[in-house]
Amino acid sequence: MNVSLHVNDDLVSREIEPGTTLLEMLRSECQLTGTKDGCGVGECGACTVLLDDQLVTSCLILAVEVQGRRVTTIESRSDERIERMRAAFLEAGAFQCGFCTPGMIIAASRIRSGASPSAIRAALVGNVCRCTGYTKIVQAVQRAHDRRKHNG
Amino acid sequence: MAKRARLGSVGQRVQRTDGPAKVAGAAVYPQDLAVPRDCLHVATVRADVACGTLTRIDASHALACRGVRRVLTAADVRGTNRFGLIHPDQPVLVESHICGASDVVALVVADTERAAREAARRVTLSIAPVVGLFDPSMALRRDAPAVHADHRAHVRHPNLVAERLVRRGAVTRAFERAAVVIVGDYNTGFVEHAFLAPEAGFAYPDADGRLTIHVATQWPEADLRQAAAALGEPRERLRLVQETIGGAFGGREDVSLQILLLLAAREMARPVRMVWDRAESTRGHGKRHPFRIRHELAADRTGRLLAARVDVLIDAGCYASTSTQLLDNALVHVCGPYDISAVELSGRAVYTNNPFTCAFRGFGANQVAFAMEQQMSKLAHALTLEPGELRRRNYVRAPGTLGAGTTLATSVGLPKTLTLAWQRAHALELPPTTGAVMFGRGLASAMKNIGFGFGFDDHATAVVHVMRDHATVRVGAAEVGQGVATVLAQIAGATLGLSVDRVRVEWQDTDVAPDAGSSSASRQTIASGNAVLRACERARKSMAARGGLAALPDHGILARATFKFPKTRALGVGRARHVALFGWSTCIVDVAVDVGTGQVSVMRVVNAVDAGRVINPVQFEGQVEGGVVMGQGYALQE
Repeated sequence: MNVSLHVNDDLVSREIEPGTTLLEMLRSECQLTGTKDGCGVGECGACTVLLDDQLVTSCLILAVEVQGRRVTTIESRSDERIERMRAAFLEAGAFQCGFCTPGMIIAASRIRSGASPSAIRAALVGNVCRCTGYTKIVQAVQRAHDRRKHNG
Repeated sequence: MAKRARLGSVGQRVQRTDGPAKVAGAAVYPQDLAVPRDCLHVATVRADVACGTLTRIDASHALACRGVRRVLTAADVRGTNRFGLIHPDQPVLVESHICGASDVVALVVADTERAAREAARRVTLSIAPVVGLFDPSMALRRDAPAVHADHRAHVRHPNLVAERLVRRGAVTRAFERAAVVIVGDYNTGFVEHAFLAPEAGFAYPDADGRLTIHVATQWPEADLRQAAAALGEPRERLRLVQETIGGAFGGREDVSLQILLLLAAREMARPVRMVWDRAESTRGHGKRHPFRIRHELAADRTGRLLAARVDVLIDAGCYASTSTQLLDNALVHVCGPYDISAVELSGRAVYTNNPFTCAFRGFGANQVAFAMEQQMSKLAHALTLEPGELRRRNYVRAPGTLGAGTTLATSVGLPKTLTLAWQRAHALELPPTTGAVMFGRGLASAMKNIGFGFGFDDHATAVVHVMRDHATVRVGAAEVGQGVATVLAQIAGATLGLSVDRVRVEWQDTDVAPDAGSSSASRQTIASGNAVLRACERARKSMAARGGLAALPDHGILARATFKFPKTRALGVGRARHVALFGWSTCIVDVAVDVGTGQVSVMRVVNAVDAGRVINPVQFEGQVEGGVVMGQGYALQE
């Protein structure tokens, strides 16, 4: 079957097998491997992407469900909030092995500016990191918010 | 100023060299590898029975599936068909005897991943089940059947992986004259590493049949050594290339899918790929060892520790991996970082039909620290001594000797960590306990071995190639996320007078990078770091003789160096340096306990660590913060 969708500003159209998840389509059909397959059951958050600007775990969504919709992944170069969060993660050292990082950055990019550390932690409850202990991730989100404030 | 310039970026908060790729989603993990069009896909068939005899494999239904090329079984393995870091007791593919439910019996090779997985479910196994052993003390009974019919690790009992007895001083007399004796029983369970990237890999034969595997592992050379023996291939016919490693924590120190992929690539004479999902990853690598600890501690009226009598029973599960070493390490740590001169320490690691075990962050030090620090807290309570004060009175000093007879050559930073943690923690008062919530503050001191110890020839080799304006460092230290590649670039840069971005660290390819041993036992910054330092110092001397960087020939210069840890000795009778070095820390935790439900919430953790010289503070903090949260999970949830 054919599925067409917008991925990071590109219109992509692919022939896929029934049952293909959005995650499989992004990784195998679009060669966008920045979105990770960590558990396949919506628990770890490594496959987090934006679907029409809403956070979703792409392993739990079928590709056919996103027909005609807009998907934003870590490879996006036009989303300012993702770009800012990427820079903040790099500066804060908010990653180690890096496997959770793409999903974490996507989820973190949608946290409202000025959120408290506990609100940041609550917002990232769906994204598991086994390396960092989260402290530097929270600092990175705050850093990105501070920068936004200073830049007006 | 001059000294500062020499140190370059060492000690600075340098950004990770792998950072830009990781935050852009561009880092390639094994599951992300683009594979060639003719690549085949491999799926495992596992026993799903913990103990039994395999009598028949019926692959006819699987082979009838569309796209299925072949079903590989033990007969295809050709070599010893066994692997294991110390005891080669684990079959690549089961011949007849099944020791654990996750034993791999066959491999299905197909044109697509989906076809391989679906066909794997259609392989029918005939297994005569046998009642298994799931309790380590039952496994040691005289009439217990042998978990391994074909492998014996110890002469005394077929299910004994290792046994140790350490005796020092007059233990009985010390217990007799003690003012207080604390007796406690402590049990810990299996724990899963849960690194975020499940295992995956890609392997292919060259035109002349030499096999290359792309994978993520902690110890490339050990993987290839085991694969060579298991498959009956000379080591030189195998090559391993590391992709980005998605966490490890000890769980990638043993072989997982490496030998299976090399086998499939050889037998099919084609590129092959295998990707494990989370469920298979959880089954496919070892677990943290469960411990049963009986701990008896004797002290005088002032809290001075007089003696310890400890028995440790370790469930090694169905395969031994490094349980022998882990038992030794546990006994070195079981009396804590304290000066105790009379001990009787006994320990056994035992085969059962439970999931197999392996290294996991701490390597046996965590389980015994849990027991010993509980004992210390109980002792402080019994003597109405402040918990920190009791510990301070008993800290070992250097030069000195730990309970197991382990001598210390270097400094012990514990008094400083205690003072620091205490000051920070007590700057905030605990809230008053209410009827519904109680608040508490706990303290523990800890130590952890650095390097393998126990006589292991522990070393790392590095080669540096210096050009006029840049350098390449080749050293096979696995970058598992801890930041070692950045740290090595900092050390090389500082020594050669180059900025970090002018140093390239090549650690991935066993054809290029010399063996640096395992990224485990907290050893790589010291092992590979010193190897790189020495190689760069040699290069610098040679450069100086030629008139500096600018005067180097076009092809540059090469220098090579090996760092060896100080010599260590096996655990046994008397005092000896069993472990090269230790790290020290003190941790204070404030918790809230819901009186109604018993739920414990961690309010605050203060952890002070004797860090030695920190090369990169960001990576150092990251290791401590990550370790604290993992320990919190171990204590409360996992």
